Amino acid sequence: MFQDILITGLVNGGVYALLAVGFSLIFGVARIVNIAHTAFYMLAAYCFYMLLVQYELHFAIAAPLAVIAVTAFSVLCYRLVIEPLREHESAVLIATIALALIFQEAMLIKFGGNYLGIPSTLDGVAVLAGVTIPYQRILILVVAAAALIGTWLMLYKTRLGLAIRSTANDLEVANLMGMNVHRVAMATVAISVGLASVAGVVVAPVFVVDPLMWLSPLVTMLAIVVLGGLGSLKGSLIGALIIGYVEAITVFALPQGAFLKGAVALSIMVVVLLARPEGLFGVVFEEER
Amino acid sequence: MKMDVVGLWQPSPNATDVTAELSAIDRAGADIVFTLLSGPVGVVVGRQMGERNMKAIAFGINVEAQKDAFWQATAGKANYVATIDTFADVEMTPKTIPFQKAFKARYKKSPIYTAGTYDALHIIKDAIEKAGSTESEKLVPVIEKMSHVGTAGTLEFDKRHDPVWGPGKSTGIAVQWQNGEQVPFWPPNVKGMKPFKMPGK
Repeated sequence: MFQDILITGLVNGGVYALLAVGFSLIFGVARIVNIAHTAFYMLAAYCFYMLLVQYELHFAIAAPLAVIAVTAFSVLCYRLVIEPLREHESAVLIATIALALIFQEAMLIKFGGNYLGIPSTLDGVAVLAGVTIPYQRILILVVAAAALIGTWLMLYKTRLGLAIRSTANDLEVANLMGMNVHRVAMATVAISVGLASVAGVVVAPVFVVDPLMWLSPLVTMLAIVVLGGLGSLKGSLIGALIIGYVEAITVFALPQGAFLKGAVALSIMVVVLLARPEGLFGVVFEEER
Repeated sequence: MKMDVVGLWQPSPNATDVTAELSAIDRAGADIVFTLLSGPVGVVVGRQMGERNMKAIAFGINVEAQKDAFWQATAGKANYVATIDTFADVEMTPKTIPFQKAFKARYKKSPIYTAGTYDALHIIKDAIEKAGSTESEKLVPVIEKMSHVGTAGTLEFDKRHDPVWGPGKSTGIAVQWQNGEQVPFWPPNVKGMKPFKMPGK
């Protein structure tokens, strides 16, 4: 049972991390609470479905095309909807909720309400320490790790990363130093949604694609970023693993209450917040800022 | 035949991942996964059981597995998943196959349990005609005595006004997904039933 928990928690945590890190990134840099974040994840899954199943493109073409298309679309949404409202945080929040609902209804009209399935990129299973793991899940873990390492390298080894960190540190000073903070925010939106799109593309073959698929991960993702400390990338990563493992432990320790795994994860978030209202890494994050 | 209950797992109806539950079911050594599923979790259970090459058979109620779209939704991974259903190309009554064909021709998909409303409407229509009234006080005694040969079975009602279940009355039809086809296999004495298959055979 220990091995099952170890591997299940790691895979689930990897997917959550892809979503939570992107969400946290855009909040940390631009103070945008993007409720539509997981709706972009849903769009990527649908886009991938359309290209792979309906247009019968090869996986190697369909997957990057879906990620690029949704990322480009997110930049368009940012320019048209979010940027004009950026000074009003509550308006941004409401606008992104509206965007998510528009995406949901658009997918319902285009694809109908049926649950859709995407063929696995890799078929077959591996047995590790007595635990059966489909190759697709190993792929998810590898892609999640690669995407997160890539994001870390971009943030700490490139000029764009430096600009993003500077803007996150102090937007006004970054602006005074001659950085185009609007472009930095736009690039951050693209990176953030890019990560969500990658999650949508790699996860879609193991989950079910439907117009409401953005809601459940949204709640989990919000729990993770609040648990880790809003805006803290390290906090999001660790929060994702905590929630992934808490869910796995709940199912194994409490089989009759498996449906409670989300509620247990949220309860832990509440307990952590009662003890540390700033989240696990909130103070460190504030010091960094 | 002796059977042991090795565990009870209750995933959320909206669960998008049941890996942990299936790992635990594997560990418990279950031969049959008796499903009571409605909602997207039915697709997820069917697909992920197939992906894991689980030896256990899934049988019970899986509403999503009643739909034509189930095979596509599971990306063809749900071989051997079985569920109780309401309609199939079998002669539950003389009306079953004509209704099935007419429904498919009109709606381009097979009927599921919701199409049982068709029988319900005919029961009400017959009762209104016999009672000469639409008042419930007059309709109930008529329906209590009624034996209605419907599209999904012969409907009669017991003292508690529940449908009488059993062979020759109303049983439902058990179907199993076999290589993309929904194959009816129970009740066995009905014309059109085919053999149930086990994984690995």
